[in-house]
Amino acid sequence: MPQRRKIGIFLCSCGNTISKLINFKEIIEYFKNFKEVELIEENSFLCKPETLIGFKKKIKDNDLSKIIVAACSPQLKGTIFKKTVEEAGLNFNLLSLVNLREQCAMVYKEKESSTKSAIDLIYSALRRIKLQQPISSKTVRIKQNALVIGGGLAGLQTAINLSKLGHPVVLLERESSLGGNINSTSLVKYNHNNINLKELVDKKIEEVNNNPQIEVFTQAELIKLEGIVGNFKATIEIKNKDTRRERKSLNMGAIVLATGCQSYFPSEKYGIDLSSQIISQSQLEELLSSKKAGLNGINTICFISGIIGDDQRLKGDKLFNQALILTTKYKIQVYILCKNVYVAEDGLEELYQQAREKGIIFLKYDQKKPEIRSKASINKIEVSLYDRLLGKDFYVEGKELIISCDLLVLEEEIIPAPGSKKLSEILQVGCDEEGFYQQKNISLQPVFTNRKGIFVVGACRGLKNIIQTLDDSGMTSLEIHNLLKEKLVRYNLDRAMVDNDKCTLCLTCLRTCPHKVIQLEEDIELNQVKIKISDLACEGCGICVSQCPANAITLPRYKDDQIMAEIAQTI
Amino acid sequence: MFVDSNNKNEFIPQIIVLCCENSAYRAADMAATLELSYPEIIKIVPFPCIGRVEERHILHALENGADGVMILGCLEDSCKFLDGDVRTNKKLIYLKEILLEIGIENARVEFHHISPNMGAKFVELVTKMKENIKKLGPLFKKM
Repeated sequence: MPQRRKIGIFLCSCGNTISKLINFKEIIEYFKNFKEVELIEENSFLCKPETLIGFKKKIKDNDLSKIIVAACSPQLKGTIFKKTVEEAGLNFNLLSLVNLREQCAMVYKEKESSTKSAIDLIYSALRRIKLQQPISSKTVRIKQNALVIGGGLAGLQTAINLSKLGHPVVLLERESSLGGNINSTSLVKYNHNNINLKELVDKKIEEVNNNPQIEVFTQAELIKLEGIVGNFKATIEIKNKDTRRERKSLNMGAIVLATGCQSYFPSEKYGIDLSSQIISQSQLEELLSSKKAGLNGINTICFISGIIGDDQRLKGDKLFNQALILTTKYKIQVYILCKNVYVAEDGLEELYQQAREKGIIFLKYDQKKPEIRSKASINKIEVSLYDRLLGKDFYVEGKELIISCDLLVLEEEIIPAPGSKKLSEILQVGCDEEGFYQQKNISLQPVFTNRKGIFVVGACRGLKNIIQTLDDSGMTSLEIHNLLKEKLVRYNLDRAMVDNDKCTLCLTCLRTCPHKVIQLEEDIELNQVKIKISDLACEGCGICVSQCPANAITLPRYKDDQIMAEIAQTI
Repeated sequence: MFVDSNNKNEFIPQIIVLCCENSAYRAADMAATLELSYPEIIKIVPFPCIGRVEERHILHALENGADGVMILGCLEDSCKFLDGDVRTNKKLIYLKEILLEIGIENARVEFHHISPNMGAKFVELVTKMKENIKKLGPLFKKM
């Protein structure tokens, strides 16, 4: 028996806000005789709980099959109306919300214009809703464990946090032991914040090794990743002691990248090479922590910061700490040349104060970078600069300030750890220009990547600070917990769907999906590959829908015919 | 085509605004909160991301009464789905070339970046387009 379409139109006057600016009577007159409109009425405050009870009753009593609610912006009360309609027994996609307040009543000066606009908006919704079908939901079972790639401080802390929240963890470390950059023996004791980094990391390693929830694989790397959030299939390769390689397949719920960074001295950017008198910060650190008397006979040391790179700030406690040790312990005169001193982090202001009090001299330059000359005859390095603060007016005829030092310390670049680019391709996560895992987009919040279920912590996303790294670990473990805390996940099937019969396997959708939820899957029965869109991870943006040359993909809530029905026939 | 009942000869342009739900739609809502108003009627159609917009939607709009189509996406590097705004902008460059070949002026189809708090800018863009199209005249002249 063909069912007559029964559409109900509920207008909300929002107290008086909407009704005083729109002629509701005219609207009701216009639509009441449409054969598909069963009921059209005005309500005072449709969103109120009391009114909603009547709303549900009217739906049931009149056996309405589709509903249009013309009220305030859907962004405000949309969820309430959707929930109410479901309670009345209708699917949420059989409800259409018309923005009668913000898009209509409030923005036209004349009642005639707003009423005409209201009629147009409701008419468009009427045409569109005839093409809207129910959308069902699906429940899947997901894995609640996580894979952490990288056994440095970031990875260790994330693994510890996750296990505390009840998630089993697999920790991969490429080297033969855990610890990362803080593994090296050349670590100086930093009194700043009272954190002895080596001790801290050793403690974390012990905690991880004693934790039965955390499985550690050393000499292991990730070589392939398939699947999507909740059901990633990771293939790892482990180098055994007898140099044989073993492959393992793991099923994981989420992935964390904690691959860290490395220091690199860019001789090509400085235009000079390292020597016995021109050293990098890491080399200075080794000198400071070694037992050998490498600093004997040194009276003046000059640090230069900001010659390379766009970030021209003298950054970090590392430099202040090194300079302070040189001044206090070795009684060396220290000069620090920089563009700006950056003290906007915890404890840096005090360190800077201390440095100034101990007699470390800070000199600032501006556009003209300091020049470095080697005076082999007197076994010294000469650094000359135009001091920014004193300016050109002070010195007669551009006389520069010349510093003669025994040792020149230049800062290094921090770049992603080796193999980062390859890993980003395996995981299909974005990178910025330098190769750190963090695309330039404000909608990607700190530890998130473009892929749901894959997170980034620590130095590998460009951070250079231990405290921030620990914060990252905390944030990521909470986000993963949020994602994976339920074993069963229920979601609406309003995601992109592909019609494999129309698909020509051009792979445009696979390449253009920003979240990489489209993959090629083998269909064993038909002995062919086909496109599979993961409905759990799909964010419903519709980019693949618009890019598909064969129109093989649809987004159930934004189908072409629905959109065109809404666009057509402007009044 | 909507004709002003007061002045039967005055041309009132029909503008359709294709809005990204995350930015432009909210900007339009904000315009209402700021108590701004549009000079004449416009029609707003929401999309989950402006990357969902296809050329055929714009052509359909032009074939069905619109004298101008404005497409609004997120600001650069702000798209929630990373590159939706860039993709649609690229589509439009090609589309506008073709439209020009058949005599439809470039000013009739415009793409702009907007953020959700730019209520005033939304009204400004729409008003400007109305003025431009008023000068150009209706898309299909009455026989």
